[in-house]
Amino acid sequence: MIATVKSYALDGLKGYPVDIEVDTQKGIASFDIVGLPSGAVRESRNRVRSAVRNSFFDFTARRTTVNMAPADVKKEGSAFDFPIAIGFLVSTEQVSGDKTGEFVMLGELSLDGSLRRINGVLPILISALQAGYKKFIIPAENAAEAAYVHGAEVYAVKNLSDAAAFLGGMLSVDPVEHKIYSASAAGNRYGADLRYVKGQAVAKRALEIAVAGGHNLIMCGAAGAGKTMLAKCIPTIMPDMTFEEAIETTKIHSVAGILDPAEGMIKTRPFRTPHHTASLFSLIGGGSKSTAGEVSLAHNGVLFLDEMPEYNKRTLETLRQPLEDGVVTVTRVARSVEYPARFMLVASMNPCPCGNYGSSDPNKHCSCTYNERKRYIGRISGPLLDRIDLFVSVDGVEYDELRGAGEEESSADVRKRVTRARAVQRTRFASDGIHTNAEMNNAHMEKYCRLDPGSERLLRAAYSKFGLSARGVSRILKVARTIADLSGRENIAAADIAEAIQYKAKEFSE
Amino acid sequence: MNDNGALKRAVLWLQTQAAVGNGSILKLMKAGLAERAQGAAPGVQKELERVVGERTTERIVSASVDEAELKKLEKDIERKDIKRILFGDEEYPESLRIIDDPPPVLYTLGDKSLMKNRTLAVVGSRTPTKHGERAAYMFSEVLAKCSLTIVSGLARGIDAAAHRAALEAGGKTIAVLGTGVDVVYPTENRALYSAISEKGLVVSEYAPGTKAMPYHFPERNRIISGLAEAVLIPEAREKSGALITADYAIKQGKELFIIPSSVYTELGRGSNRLLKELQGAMVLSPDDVIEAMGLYRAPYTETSVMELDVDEEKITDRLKRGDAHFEELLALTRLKVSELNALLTGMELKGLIHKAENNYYGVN
Repeated sequence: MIATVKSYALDGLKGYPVDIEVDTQKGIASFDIVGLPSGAVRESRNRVRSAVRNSFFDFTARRTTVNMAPADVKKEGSAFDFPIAIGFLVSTEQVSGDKTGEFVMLGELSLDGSLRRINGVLPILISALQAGYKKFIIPAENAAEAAYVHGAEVYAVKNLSDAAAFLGGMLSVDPVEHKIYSASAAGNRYGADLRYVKGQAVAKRALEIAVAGGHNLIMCGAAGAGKTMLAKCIPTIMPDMTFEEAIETTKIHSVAGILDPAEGMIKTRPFRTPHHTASLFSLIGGGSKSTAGEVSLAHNGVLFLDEMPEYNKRTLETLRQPLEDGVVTVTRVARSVEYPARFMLVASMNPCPCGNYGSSDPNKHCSCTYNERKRYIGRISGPLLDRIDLFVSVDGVEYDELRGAGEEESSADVRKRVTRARAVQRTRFASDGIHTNAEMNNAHMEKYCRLDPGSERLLRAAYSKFGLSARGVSRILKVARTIADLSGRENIAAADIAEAIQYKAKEFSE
Repeated sequence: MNDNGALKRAVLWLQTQAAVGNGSILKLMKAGLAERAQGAAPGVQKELERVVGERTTERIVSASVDEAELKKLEKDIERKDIKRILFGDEEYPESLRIIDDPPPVLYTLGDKSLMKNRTLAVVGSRTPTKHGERAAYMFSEVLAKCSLTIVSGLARGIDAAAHRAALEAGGKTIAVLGTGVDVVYPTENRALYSAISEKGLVVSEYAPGTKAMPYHFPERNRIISGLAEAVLIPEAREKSGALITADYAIKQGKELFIIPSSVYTELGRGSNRLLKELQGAMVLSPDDVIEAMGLYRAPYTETSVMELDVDEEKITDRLKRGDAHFEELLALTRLKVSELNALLTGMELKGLIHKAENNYYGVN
């Protein structure tokens, strides 16, 4: 008898249905899987056989054929174990097939028959729901992430026998209870807080402006100056993730298999710190399985590149496209997959290879030649620098004795200002299809960065004094817009322009 | 003396095709042999040998003569508006004529008359500390305003700062190159080079098109000190080219001025050691140079009669005692970070202060 079971597979973040047909006949014992199975799928027959036997069902010699449709798409992963096993049981009439058609089934089998967690449940549920599928059976370990998919009726089961009993009507299972999303107090996952960073007033202000306007940021300073510590504080001052943002980010993390099974949802903004030996594929995504790269895992969060000039130059260059478009398209032989990648780029770098250039400490003498320095800084190309609005020097000098017993401001306080500034931007850009000041193009700037004569004069003076480029000017304008938003001003004031100039790019190239 | 074109061409041939050194060329010129060296008859060869020795003579005799190439070179010289002044010409600067080994020819680009001005050479480290670079700039700026022409070598660091200061002060400057006058080395000083060739003077004893060779630069230094009435060294490390220039200056009987450096920095150890030997050379302000050279001090012009507000005054007062960090200024003024940022930009634009590395600020 032929049994048909519905399952689902993923292509990037988009799901598509897979029909699994199982046919058992009398004949020489065999278990064939057809329909372009990949390695993990082909191996599933061994898991299915053991799981079926160890769940006390019958697996005596028969001629079994499993077909997976559509037959022309390569099937990957282990999520088909469970639907194949159910198909086999229905086909051999050990489980009633009356209700199996109502469900989409997903799950990997352990040899003892228990269901193991699989990757990508959230994006599968969301796209299956959109396609009109309502009821699902998934492994219990994936229940947490399914709880946020409202409208779906999801049954989380522990093992094959429970699932069989449930389908046969002998066991009642309650659908997974839906949870209401609430962003978790930002930052507590990272244990960082601006309160613990002493001094560094300029740099802290730069972080605040950068986060408020979604500007990319470079911190330049010697090793040990506190760049990494500052960077870790960035998520703590970012506004809470909205439900939509959380879903977007969780989908990517779910597919990548790095979702915390207990939490089920990414509730704090991701802070990704790929090492500088990271390969192109690991940063951008791709490879044989078209997996998501760090830029996508950092979606709605921060991508922190420590010691940016140490990264492979070609790898860095590939960042330009996601920085511009907010998505990466990963193409491989048969298909191309799109992953969202809207992140804030934060980079740190030494001022020179030895790290002492410009140090005020007379014992720290820079031993780099002019050319070495130029080459080091030159590893970051002009087009990439053009996408970075804020530059700030970070140094380890502390002035405790001067400041007295002043309390440092906490991340929570800064976050309030940032959230307010973001709200202003959301309202302003409601009809423009952008979210932050950093995304403004020339037309937007013309509309929203009007200058009064005083500010215009100031900018002009700076233009000739500092030899700014046209791009340099527009970066200053965007940053000034954010500074005005932070202080709740509708129009950019001269003081905003003046402050923005303090964070302009240093002359990186001759 | 109006047409010595043949001699000019002979010198150009000796430099470019016979690869004879400038010292030998000068000897040949003094002996009146330069024009006869090309394709020398056996009788002339004897004379050559007597003047420049066997090896150089051998080279001259075996050298090829590529007339077409020479013509092209001369056309190039004309097109680029490069002037040639031969040793013995009326225009040849007296200051160079009297040194031990004067250059046989000077190729110039720009205002030749500058070599007649009162001049000061400013030379030093290519990798100066920020104090050294600032001192070079400040001394050159003030002294250029006192109508001294600043002579230097267009190198990185001190040299570039000195040239730039002179130009920005509206003064005059001469760059003496170790390459042909039409070759920019180092290339990052291209903008500076163009400005000097327009508003000042570029000089070299090497034929146009000559590339940088390591031994050119020490040789070139004798022209820097030769052209200058006095030499100022803001900062030089041990074994620095500036010390070679100082040696030449002493030999040529020129006045030497040295600005003391911190005892902690290696980058000023050479000039400090020299200063220990020549304690009278120490200068602490441009006024010392002005006095020693008997200059007329340019009427002191206040940068402007700007009204400074309380905070600006606090900051400038503090910075006059040395560079200060942003945090320190923050504590001093008790402003908010955003306010101080804006204030500092304003002061920068007014030309009161500058931003140094690592969030330090300094007074101008």
